[in-house]
Amino acid sequence: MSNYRRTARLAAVAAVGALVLAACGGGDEGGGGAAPAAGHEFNAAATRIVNPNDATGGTLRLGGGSDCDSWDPARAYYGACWNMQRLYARKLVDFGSFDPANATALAPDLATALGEPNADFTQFTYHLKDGIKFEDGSPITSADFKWALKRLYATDVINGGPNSYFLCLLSDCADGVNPDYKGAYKDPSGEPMVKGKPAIETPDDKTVIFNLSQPYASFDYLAAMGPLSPIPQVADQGDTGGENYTQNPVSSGPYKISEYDRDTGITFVRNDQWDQATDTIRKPKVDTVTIEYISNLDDLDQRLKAGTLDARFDGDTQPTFQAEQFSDPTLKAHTDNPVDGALSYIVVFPQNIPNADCRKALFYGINKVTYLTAFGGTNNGEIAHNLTPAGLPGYDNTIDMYANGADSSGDVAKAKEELAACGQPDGFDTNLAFVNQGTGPQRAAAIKEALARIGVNVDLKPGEAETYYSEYIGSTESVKSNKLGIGLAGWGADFPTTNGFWFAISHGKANQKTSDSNYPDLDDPTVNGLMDKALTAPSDQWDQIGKDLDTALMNAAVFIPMVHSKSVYYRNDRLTNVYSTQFFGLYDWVNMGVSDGA
Amino acid sequence: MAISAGEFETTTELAPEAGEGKVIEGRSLGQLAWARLRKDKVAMAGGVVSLILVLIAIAAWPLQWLGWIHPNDSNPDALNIANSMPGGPFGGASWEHPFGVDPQLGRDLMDRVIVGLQTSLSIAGAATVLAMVIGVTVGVLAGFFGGWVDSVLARIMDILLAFPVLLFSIALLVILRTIGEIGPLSGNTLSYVALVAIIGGFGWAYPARIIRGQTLSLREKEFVEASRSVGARNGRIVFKELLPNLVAPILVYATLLLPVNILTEAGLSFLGVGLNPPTASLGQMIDQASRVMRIDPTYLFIPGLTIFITVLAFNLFGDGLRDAIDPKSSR
Repeated sequence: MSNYRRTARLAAVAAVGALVLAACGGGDEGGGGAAPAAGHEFNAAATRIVNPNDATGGTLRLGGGSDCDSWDPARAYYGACWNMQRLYARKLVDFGSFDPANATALAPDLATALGEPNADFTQFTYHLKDGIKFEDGSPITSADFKWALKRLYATDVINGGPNSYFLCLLSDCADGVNPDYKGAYKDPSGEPMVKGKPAIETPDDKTVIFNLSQPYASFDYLAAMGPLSPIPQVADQGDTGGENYTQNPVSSGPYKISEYDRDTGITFVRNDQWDQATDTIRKPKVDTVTIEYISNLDDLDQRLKAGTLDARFDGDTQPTFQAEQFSDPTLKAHTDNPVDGALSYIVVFPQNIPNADCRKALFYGINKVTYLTAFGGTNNGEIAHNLTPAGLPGYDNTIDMYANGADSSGDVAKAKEELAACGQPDGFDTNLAFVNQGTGPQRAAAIKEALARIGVNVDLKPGEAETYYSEYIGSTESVKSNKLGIGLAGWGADFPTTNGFWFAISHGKANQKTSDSNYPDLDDPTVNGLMDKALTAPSDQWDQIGKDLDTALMNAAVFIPMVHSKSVYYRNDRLTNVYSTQFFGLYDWVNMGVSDGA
Repeated sequence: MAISAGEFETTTELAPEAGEGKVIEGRSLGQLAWARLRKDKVAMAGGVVSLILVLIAIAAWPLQWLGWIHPNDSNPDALNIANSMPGGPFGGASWEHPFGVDPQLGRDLMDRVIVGLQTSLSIAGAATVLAMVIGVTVGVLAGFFGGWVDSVLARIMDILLAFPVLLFSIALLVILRTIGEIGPLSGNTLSYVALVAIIGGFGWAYPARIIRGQTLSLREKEFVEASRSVGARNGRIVFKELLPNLVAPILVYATLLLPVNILTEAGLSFLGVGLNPPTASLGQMIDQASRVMRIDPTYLFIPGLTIFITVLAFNLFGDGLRDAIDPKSSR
């Protein structure tokens, strides 16, 4: 599936690296201070393993801005927290260790192989490895997967996670939205059923069979998510179960939680029941992993700079430290600046601008250069010509259906042609929705200025951060009553497939009256059809389907691609085996070591 | 601040002036106040600076209309494309952009400060007028009629003074923005009217209390008694006897309320509930600047200094005016 995507992605990263190196005249030689240790170079961890070293022992000291949304694998939704699950929650299959030749490929983890589908992709079978155990020494069996699935349906308790992918796929839903099964806590003896068969069959301790309500060729990616990681029923009871399971989830991985305070931090120590022989993905090095929560993010950056923290587990460094990272050669050698797979885009609401030619005028009139500077500059993103972000099937940022000038700063003449075609040659008035926070006001101002050039007068209508997506641009009624013509939005994939990115924001089935993510209320048969096709297509066709879908969405003229965002990370000099988990974009903590053994 | 009660007793004040060897002649209250104000160099400096700032704010309209200033035009070329910070030291200051440009869009900071000053002064000025109109009306009514009218109005003032004004203003402005449209008002016009109404509507209690106190003592004076004894009606007494004697405290208090309102408007804009972007406002600039403060403090410095100078100038002038009009007031 990923040959095309991989090369394009690496080329982009390499090009950016070359540019920056050229700009600062050769990186390493200049500037005072200690020379960077061998292996540490700008952006190195995005393309290779920095400081490969097999030494073990020591403590990996991470910092974070706040606690995870949950340590219960079924309830976490932050990508950084999914990445941390690699320490303590194994799944049937998981993202592999570093392999630039297969960036987002899955590898068998607790299962002996990837899922074996039946002919129409409605049934997947996994066989468990021998010798896999929980931290208390009890073996991991098929029953633990069944319990994990059953508790997922207790949506009043197990909430917040990515359960929307699972609920109606692994249970009948009479009304199409709410599963018939009500969850393990209310109905412990029942189980989710799909067309008369149990959704999860366990013929013996070593075999797990999933029966799906519809074909789903990329089910392995769902099996790699937290909700399907095994949970022993005995641990998920009483004071330690249900909503309290986040306090001390039972580990199946090489580390287990030893101390946890949601205000100050969490500590992981080695789990002696985990057996290296059963695990091809993880090669743990350090004895202890600590995360310290520091709510003042500038203070956190200062700790990174001083070397008293090794890296930040949950996001980018702040603008102040970023400026130093890019100007100081030593700091820069310890900086990574990868494309992170998120798209910043503009929704053009067909509800209020029904004429496609009027919408296309905006595509040509927009100025992506000023938008990128308002977004934070080339350190924080690159101009998007196509919708699909790097790392997903169909990514090709060289295609530009609405090319608007050599530098993407706008093609006024072409925009005016479209305006004439839509019967409003002098332009029109419309409203722009944005979050009045962070860079929102600046990005909105950039759009207003750009569209004024083609006679489109934009009124800025700010929304509140907390309710922006759910009640402002995500509500059909609000889009209508606020007469929104365009709105700022951003999106990242939950798993690296066509449906993992596009389904929620563009499939007709994902369109609801309120709180949906399909902001333009799109229900385009071509778009729906391509996504449905991707569900059952073999993986060698995914890339072409992704490209066709991108084209179909651009034809619909409802999403203007603006910026593919980039992250800025810092890694301490003493870290070994540093590389990005390609899909999460963050470092792979579970295989990281420290060189000084401390 | 204590503004002592009473009409002006001119006799005692004439003595030092007369001592300078001039011919003793009758001078009006205004002439006397002006003479005293002119001698107060600090107040005069404050007054001149205030006047210049007001003129700049007014000039912002024709300047924008003539196309001489471009507060909303981005200059991506003036920025470092890597991190969107101004290219060059001191916020990218140059002959073309004397105060530099703002991060992220590269808009000329001098143009934005001029328009931001206009935003601040016009909202604060309108709010001050509103607060004074309500405050004087309520104060005179309460002081003049006394009794239950006074009790009711005084309690309302007490409640207003004890009100968590800032929190309430933020909530109200957010709600108004969510509604988005009230009658003919929408968008920035609605925000503008709402800011004036909220800052003015919550700011009248303090002047009202002072005017009430003044009125209370004025209505017992002989000239009011005399007026009443010859059969003058309430309206005549209020407009012909009381108000002329209240002009001084009204003027003084308005001058001192204005800088307070400037700070309130800046505060609300800083918190993101001011006018909608891209309209320049000093508070919003400080908010934007605070995120990049440690990379380049110029952008924080310029709007901050503008607010500082404006508030200081109006305060100095207001203090001087008070001393000049009412020299008995204790400092």
